[in-house]
Amino acid sequence: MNFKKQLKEGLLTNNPVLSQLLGMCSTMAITTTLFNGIGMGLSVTIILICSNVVISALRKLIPDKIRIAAYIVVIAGFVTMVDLLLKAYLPALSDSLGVFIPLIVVNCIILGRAEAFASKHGVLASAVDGLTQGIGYTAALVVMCIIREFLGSGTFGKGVLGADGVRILPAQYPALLVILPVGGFLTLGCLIALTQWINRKLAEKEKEKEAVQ
Amino acid sequence: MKDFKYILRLTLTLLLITAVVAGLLGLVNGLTEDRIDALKREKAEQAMQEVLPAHRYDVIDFRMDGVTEAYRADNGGYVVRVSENGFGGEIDMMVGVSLDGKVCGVSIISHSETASLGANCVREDFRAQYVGADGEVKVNKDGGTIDALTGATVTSRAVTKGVNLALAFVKEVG
Repeated sequence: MNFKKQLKEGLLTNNPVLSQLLGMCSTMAITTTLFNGIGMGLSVTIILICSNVVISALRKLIPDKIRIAAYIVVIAGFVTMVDLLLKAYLPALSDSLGVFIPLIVVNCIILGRAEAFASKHGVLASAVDGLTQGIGYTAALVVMCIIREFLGSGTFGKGVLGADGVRILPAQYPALLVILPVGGFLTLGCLIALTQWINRKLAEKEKEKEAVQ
Repeated sequence: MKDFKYILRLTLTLLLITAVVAGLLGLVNGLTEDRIDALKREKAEQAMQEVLPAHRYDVIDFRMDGVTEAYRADNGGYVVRVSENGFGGEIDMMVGVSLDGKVCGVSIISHSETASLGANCVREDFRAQYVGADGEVKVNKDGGTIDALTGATVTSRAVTKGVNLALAFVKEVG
């Protein structure tokens, strides 16, 4: 187990959004304000850690044939619990994210990590995987939120720094397009390209290192 | 026999997992249910006070499609709770109508409209446009007086429809 390596994978080389292209629906829909991005990212991270731990602990108990059904039950359970807790204790966030919290059940990141990692590794490693992948997801969302909120509404930190955030661009300049799904796709495309470029640079560096040795 | 055992194992494993998850969900639901209900009630009461301040609201039993709750306030006005389909889902709102049949306030209780676009329907300056309206209101795109929100005509139409529904309801009852 190597936390640093897993963190690098979660953030860059195997980022759930920018490299694995999982969880696109929520990424497109909610990345319009910083508040949404952070809230969604943290909710997914918590659910991902819990479901990874439970699924990893049960991995020898669950027969192969019913594993997907079993995983979905576990995931749906955690998602519903988080949904209820948010409704009771963080109603503002619950209102803002609306239907996208219950929809985490079908967010492929959670099932994807259960299938690709938690079902094959120990509890601790799976918890770390949940944490690092969750951080990667949150980071991707936050970057998208900041770009789209700045270009689309001209503000920073809506909901986090006061209800309307800090205004950077005067209200008549922002491009509405960026807030709409079109802008989501454009932003995501640019970010994926950037991630791929960074990943290639990193890989080249590693190769050079090996060649020197 | 071997097959039977295997099938039994599959069934029991899944049953066990489902039962444990269901138990835990029941527990969490029990812990949060009262609080969620209280928050919902508080929100609705706040919205009622906002659209038509009064000391007492009496429930009206008359029902109409789209109207979820209706009250007669002790000062003669009405508070009507309506639900309309917006762009991203239902928009739940409270409309206050004064004794002379004019809108005296609109409050959005919950919605799932797009952030920065339709979500702007909660803004004071948008909602204030409905105050004083009687008869049918329309958004400016449909030749009316309500300035629709930029990029959110569907949301603006839904709110307008809700206000019209509330006015129609009051006419029907009063």
